[in-house]
Formats: sequence, structure tokens, C-alpha cells
Amino acid sequence: MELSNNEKLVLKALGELGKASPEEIAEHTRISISAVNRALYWLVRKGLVEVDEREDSIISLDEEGKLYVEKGLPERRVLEFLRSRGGEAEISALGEVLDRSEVNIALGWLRKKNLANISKGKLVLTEKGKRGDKTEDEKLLERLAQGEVMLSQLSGEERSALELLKRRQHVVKLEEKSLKEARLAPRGEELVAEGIELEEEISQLTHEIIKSQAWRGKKLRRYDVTLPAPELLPAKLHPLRIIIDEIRSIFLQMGFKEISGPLVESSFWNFDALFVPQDHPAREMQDTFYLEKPSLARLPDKETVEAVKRAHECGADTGSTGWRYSWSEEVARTALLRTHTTATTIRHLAATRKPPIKVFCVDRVFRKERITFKHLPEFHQVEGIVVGDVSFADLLGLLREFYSKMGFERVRFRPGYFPYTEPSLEIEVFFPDRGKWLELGGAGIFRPEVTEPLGIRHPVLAWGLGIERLAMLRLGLEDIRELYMSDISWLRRAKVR
Amino acid sequence: MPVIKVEYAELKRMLGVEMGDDELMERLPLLGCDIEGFDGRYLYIEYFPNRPDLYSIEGIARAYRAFFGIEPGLREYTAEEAKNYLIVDKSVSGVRDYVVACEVKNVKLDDELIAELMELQEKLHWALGRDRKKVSIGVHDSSRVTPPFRYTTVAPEEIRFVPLGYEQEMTPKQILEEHPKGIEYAHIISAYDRYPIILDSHNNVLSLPPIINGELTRVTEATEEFFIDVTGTDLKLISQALNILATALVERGFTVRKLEVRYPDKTLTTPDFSPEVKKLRKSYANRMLGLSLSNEEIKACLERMGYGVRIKDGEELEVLVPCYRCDIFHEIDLVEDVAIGYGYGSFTTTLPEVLTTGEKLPIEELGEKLRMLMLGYGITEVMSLMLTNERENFYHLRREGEAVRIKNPISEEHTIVRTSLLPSLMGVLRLNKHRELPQRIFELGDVVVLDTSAETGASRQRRLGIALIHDRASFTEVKALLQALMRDLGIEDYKVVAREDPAFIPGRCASVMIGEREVGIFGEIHPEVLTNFELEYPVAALELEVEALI
Repeated sequence: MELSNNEKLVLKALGELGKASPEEIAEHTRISISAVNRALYWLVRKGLVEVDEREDSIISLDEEGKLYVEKGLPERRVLEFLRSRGGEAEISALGEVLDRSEVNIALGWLRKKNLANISKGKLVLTEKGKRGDKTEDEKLLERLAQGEVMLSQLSGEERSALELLKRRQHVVKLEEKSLKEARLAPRGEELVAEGIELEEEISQLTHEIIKSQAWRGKKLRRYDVTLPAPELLPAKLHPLRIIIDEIRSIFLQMGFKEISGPLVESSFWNFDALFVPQDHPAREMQDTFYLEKPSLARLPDKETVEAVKRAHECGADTGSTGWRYSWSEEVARTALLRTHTTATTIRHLAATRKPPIKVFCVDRVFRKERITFKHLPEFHQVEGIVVGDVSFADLLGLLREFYSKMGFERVRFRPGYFPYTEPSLEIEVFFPDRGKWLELGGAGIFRPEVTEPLGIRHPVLAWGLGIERLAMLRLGLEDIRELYMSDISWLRRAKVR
Repeated sequence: MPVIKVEYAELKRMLGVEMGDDELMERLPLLGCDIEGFDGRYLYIEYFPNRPDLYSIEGIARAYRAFFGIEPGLREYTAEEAKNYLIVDKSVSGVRDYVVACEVKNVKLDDELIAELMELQEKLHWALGRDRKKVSIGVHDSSRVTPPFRYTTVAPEEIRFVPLGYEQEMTPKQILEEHPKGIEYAHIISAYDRYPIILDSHNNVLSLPPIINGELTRVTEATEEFFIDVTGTDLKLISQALNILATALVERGFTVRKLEVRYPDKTLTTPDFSPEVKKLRKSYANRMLGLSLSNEEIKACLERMGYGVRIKDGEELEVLVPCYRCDIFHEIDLVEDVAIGYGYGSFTTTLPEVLTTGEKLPIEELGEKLRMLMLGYGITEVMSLMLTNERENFYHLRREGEAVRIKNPISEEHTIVRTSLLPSLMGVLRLNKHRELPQRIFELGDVVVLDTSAETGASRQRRLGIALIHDRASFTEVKALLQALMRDLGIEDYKVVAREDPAFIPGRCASVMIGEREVGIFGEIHPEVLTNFELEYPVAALELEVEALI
């Protein structure tokens, strides 16, 4: 049988000690308590040692208990007082030896222990009280004053006394403890009788050992390969970043070019160029962060501004009725934190105009939201755009392709609404582990009132989704804030898929 | 977006359809809505802001009766000929120019119906009326007033009347100052010398639009006849609002009677339930949708959406747009309804033939490399919010400066956009002060700086920030990182120059220079700053402009 050095040492120790606790073995062998425990575990499994485990309690004095050791129990103090007064006294006189709070306690115990009675307002010692012998609980207190005692070591009387003491507050403390005691099993006894030979073992192979060839003829200790090793916490990428990069790579694979644009944006690009009327609720103060500094942005060239103005006012030359109001350049210049990445795609479209265009943007956007488990005032959006001889059926096909690359096999579409797309749709994907369809993105074809004033003559397919929501579903988070808390402990342990 | 509360059993009764509950729930969203919830009795459905005609159970039932093929095509509505009239005084011009109105007979109400009616009114105010600015609706019990009616203006203290919900008479001025609705909506008319008002022939006040009706014409369960006024700044919008409301009442079984509205220069008879005729080119619809539908198929799709359709010749269809639809701006809006009528789920999807090659942004490509290096150096990525406040961004770092500032912040925590990554990193360390050390973190993120030369007055910069916290974090450790980074990126022509920055310990702070330009800063953080961020171990940090590393 293979035995480690420590196991051999423990066996030998038990041969010499008979029954012993791990602490006693450690003392005897001079190896650490954890090493003793490890060795015992293996020796038990090998059938060489038996370990009895039993539950016991350590009894010690608590705060009040220590006080009582010093001053005596309240009833003892009264008893001595009565004896000094010839065996009786007015109850009101007890204040001389007791705190007021202790009077009732003392009277209760005196009666319970049959040491004194109350008679005509006076406290009178009984015969037992006159003798004044120490009671069992007092004896136990004295014993405890010498040091902790194990519950198992108490006599029957002491146990009853302990029960009495436990009825008082903060006199004794009990701490449960499991005690181990090891002894040799019959096979272990045989082995010890045969004699155990200690031989030098090598655990950690070192440069010195290898270089000097000292390992030759020695034993390389066998390890328990199933034991857990310490936790390794290497540097990691942020889980949200991993998802963003995955989405970027899907777009890149599909032949899309990556674009980016300003975070501080004009209302013009964020709203007006997208045919969102200047009195639209989404533009109101409760949804959008407007800026005090810088408060105004510059507008693009006159021609573009004029074309957008006419689209709003009368539909320009698109055949649309437009919104039929008087469009203000001043409102369009208002600076804001962009509320969607569409501000960036529309900028790109206005500058590029001609197909083929396939671009995408993954970036931050801002909404005037109070921070809750569901909402943050800033988050990431991803948006993809295709311009060419394309149709709604193409958009649906693209979405199927995109979402399937994202790992969503089941996707369905239903009508949606965005001020700048028509037709519009919402995308729902099926999450098998949740057993339900969840909305995960919107899409549509840009309205003619958006594209034509900017000189774009082809249909523009667009879709987008919020990444944090996807991340929460992937990472099993219930609280969106966790994504930006950057709790190192979470980051270091986060899954990368 | 508006959520409509609909009694489910009532909806099923109005639909008159044999359909399992599950199937009905599955099919409702196919017209365009979100089912928010169902409590066993009421269904909560969110409809889109462009479809206020769906903001009542009558409108919803009407749409689905067509959509489910029970009653496809244009639903015709009739109104009795006008008996009474409303005179529009020229003084309303420039204040609140337009009014349309009608009368309603055979009204039967209960509390629930009154509540629904008010609910519809409020939702129309929101969606079409931009919170009463463009459209406001008044529904009156007409039994206590006498036609003809007058839409005119009064001086703020010219008359007195009892506003709805009050007992004592008030002047319009008092109402604007004291009545809760007056306070809420005063901004719409308070700039004018005279306020719009609707009176009957005895000068009884029906309404002070868009603020409040008079108590005199309060609608109760006993009401048998309505007078309905819609005032506003856009004749088309108020007509649509009246049509939505009036057709819903006809669906209820009430009778609508037209009213003559006599403007100084013209007379309108309202409501006008006649459909608007729009053209739809078959080829346009098919091209936009990627379908090849015949005229008949397009007609069937549109009829499911409640339109009337006349097929003229091979190419063009005449579409009769119901009088309650207010979202048809352009031919494309009809195309969407063809698609919805066809069913989004029925499309054979295709992939666009737009050949392009993928291309990363250079700064993102460099970002990928930087992240790879950071991981190799044993530094963990963090992400933090860009919104912050001056205390965190400047004062905690013993710095001063200017930043992009929000005009309407939602909390004191988020009033500016960060100008440096350092405070974000320090904030992350503070959040992690009870976690095991050492901690080495980086963020690759944006800051925004004011920049008058930029089109929008500010420009974003990509930065790389690194912070190291542990017992022996030092200038040397962070400088070693900088050297490794520069070596690994192959940047040789950089210089490290001593500088002072209040966030760092004097003499332990340096600039990274490329040419004459400072592209970064690093060093040991000042203990005062550590204390500001509740940290009790030394921190060494680095912040670099990524653009400069390309």
C-alpha cells in the first residue's frame, strides 16, 4: 500500500498514543494540523484508521457570569445579608446589597431554591437558608471560573445546575464543537506491528534536485490529483466588450464598414434630418439631454438645411404632405447628447449618398432616464444600414441572417413604429432557456422624406438594437447597473461566452 | 406610448369572432401593437403614436374586424344633416385659429363609458394635440345651452363662469392662475391679450379652450345629447381628431349630427366622414416590398387594413383612406399597410445583392490590439459611464476645467460629460475598495472636450486609461507599462517629460510627448486624491490619447 510520509508519521503516532485527537497527533508528530487532517482523511479511506466524531459543547462564563463569580449570585448576597441581620429583614432594606434591577431576581431564586420566604412584608430565612450551604449552580460557577469545561465532562448534578444557570441571561455561553478522535483500525494495528519504515519523499521538484540528480533513488510523492487547486484570477476583457466585438465581427463578416460620429450632436442630425417634427414628444426635455454648453451647433450647408426644412413643412418633392408647420433653424441648431446612433448613420448617408453602402455603428447613446435596475442614462446601440436596389423582403432576409449569426435561430417580425422608417418592424427572438419570445431590436426602410432631401435615391434598410439588454440576457443579469459597476470580483470571474 | 385598457370580453363581443384566446393574443400584435398585460378582465395594449384611431375599443374592434377578414374594406359612416351652426369670430385668428364641431344624439352613458370617453380625449390630446397645443377637444351636455354657438375671444377679465369641477364663478384670468388645469395649460394662451372661448346664444360659456369646459355642460350619466368642439392651430389635425372621436361614437350606436361652422370667409360642415383618395402604384409597392403582387392581391391586403380600393388600370390603384386615419403622409405609408395586410410572417425573405467588403475603423482596430496587450500585461478591462459631475471629474482630482454641460440633468450625479478617464478609473477602484488587491484595471473609452472649432462645439477623444492599486504601486510600475506599450506598438519617437498636475504627486508625474504634442500623462496619484476617492493604498495611473498611437 502506498503511504505518504505524513500518513506513516500519523500511523506511528497513533501506535504510540492509542486514541488521539488531531491536535494531539500534530503535537506529537510536529506536522501541521491541516497536514494531520489530510493524512487522517486518506488513512480512513485506506481502512487503516478509524475516526470517531462526536458533537460536544464548550461551556464558559459570559459577562454576567464573571460578575457573579466576583460578587456572588444576587440570592447569595441577600442570604448573607439576612444572616447578618439575624435571619430576617424588610424587603425594602435589600437595596443595601442589591441593584434595584436585581431584587426581583433574588427574591425569585430564594423562593425557588427554598432559601427564604416572605412573611408579613418581611423576608425570613428557611432552615435550609440558615444553613447557607453552597448550591449546585454556585459550585458550577466556581468550576467555570477556573476555565472552560466540556459539556461531556459534567456530572448529572452539574448538568441540572447548568440548566439553572442557562435560565439567567448572559451567565454561561455554550459553543458547539465537533471533536475528532482517531485510533488505529485492525489493519492499521497490523501495519504498525510490522513496523513502518519512513523514507524520504520529494514533493516539489526543484532546480537543485534536478541538477544534482538528488531525486534518483528517492520517492516522488504521489499527489491526489482530484484536489482543487487555488483559484486563478487573470486579467479579462469586460463581458459587454466581448459582446460588442462579437457583433462587430458579424457585421464585418457580412461586408459592412464600421463608422462612428459625434456624441455631442445637433438636433438637426439627431432629429430633423430623420423627419422627426420639432414638436415631437421624443424631442421633449423629458427624453433628451440638451446641453447648456455647447448650446448650439452649426448646421450643414444651406442646400441640405433648406431641403430638410421643406420636407418638414410640405414634404418637399417627395409627394408627402409633410408635417405642415413652420420649421425653425434655431431649434435644429440646439445641441444635445445623441439619443441614437441613427444620427451618425444619417450623417454618413448624407455624405456618401450613392450605393452600394453597407455600414454599421456600435456606440454610446444617451437618454434622459433615471438610473434603475432596468434603465441607464447611457447605453450602447448597434445599427446597420444597407443602401441599394433593396426591398423590405431583403431587410427581413438580412435580419434573419444577422440574428442567426448572433445565435438566434428563431426570429419573428411584427409591425413597429419609428418616425423615420416606413415600413417599420420590431424583431422578436426566441430564448429557449426562458421559453419565450423577447423583443430585441427594431428595423425599417427610411422614409422618402428622410432620404430624398439628402439626395439619396435608393431605399435604405436600417436596423438596430440595444446591446445592454442582449448582454443582460446572455449574462443572466437582472440589474443593468451591474454592467457598469465594474466589480472586479465579477469581472475576474465572468464567463467569456 | 399610449396603453389602451380594453375589456377583453367586450372586445371579443365587438369583434364577433370565434377564436381561441391564445390565437387572438398571438394575432393582435400582427396589426402593430404590444400586449402589455392581461389581468383576466382587462387587456392592456400599447398602440403606436401614429395610430390614434386605435386608442378606443371601438377603433380597435373596427381595425381587427377588417384585419381578420370579418368586415374588410372601407367602413362607411353617415351623419345627420346639420341643424345648428357655430359662428367663428375673426378675433380667434392668430390665437387659436380653427374649430370644428358636431352634435351627438341618442347618447346612453354609464360611469365606465364616461371614463373611457375622457381617456380617449386625453390620448388624442397627447398624440395629435401635442398636449392640447395643436388640438383640444371639449365634450358637452348640450341640454342646458342654446344654439347657435359662437367661437370668439374674450379679455382675461371680461366674463365670469363656473369652470368644471368648481362651484364659484371665475374669470379666465383667475382660472389660468388658480385652477389646476389652468395652471397646467396656461402657457398655450397666456401670451395673448384675449383668450378663445365658446359661448351659446345666451352667452353661456361652454368652454375656455384649450384649458377647461364650463361646469354648466358637464357630461353625466343622464346626458342624452352632446355638443363636441375641437379647437386648434391646424384645421386638418382637428378634423382628424373629430373624425376619430365621432366615428367611435357612431360605432357605439350614437347618432352624429353635423354642424355648420361659419368662418368669416367660408363655411364648413363638420364632421366630414368622406375618405381621402390616394394613389398607389403597384410597381412601387412591389419594388419596395420585394413582392410581385397583382392588383387584386394588393386590394385584398389594403382591405384588411380598412381601406377602400378601386382598381383603375394595370398600374395604379385608387385607395380610399378612412377619415379617421391621420398617418398617411405618403405613398410609402400605404405600402406599409400592404405589407401588414399581407402579413410580415408571410414574406419569402431574400438577401440583398449589395456587394461590399467589411472594413474596421482604424481606431477600433488599434483598440483590439491595445486590449490584447493589456491582457498580456495582466490588466483587466472595465467600462464606466461617461456622464459624471464636476466634483468627480475635477475637484476630487484637485483639478479644474470646463466640460460639456447638460441643460436638463436628471440628477446631481450626472451633470457633465467626462473630460478624462482618470476619474472614472478612480471611481471603479473606489467601488472595489473591499476587493482583493492588487487591482490593475484599464478602460478604453471616450471623453468629450469642448472644442469651438468642431461642428457641434465639442469633440470626442478615444483614450486609454490604466490604474494600478496595491501596496507597492509606483511610478516605476506605470512607467514600465508605458515603455512596454510603446515598444510593443513600435513607437520610438516619444519622450517622457516631467510635469506637474494636481492629481499626481509633485515630482512623480510626467507627460508623454510625441513631437511637440502632449499625448498622455502618468504618475503616482496624490494622497489627497486617494482620500477623496476613499482609497487607502497607493495608485499609479496613465492616460493616453489613442489617436496619437495609430
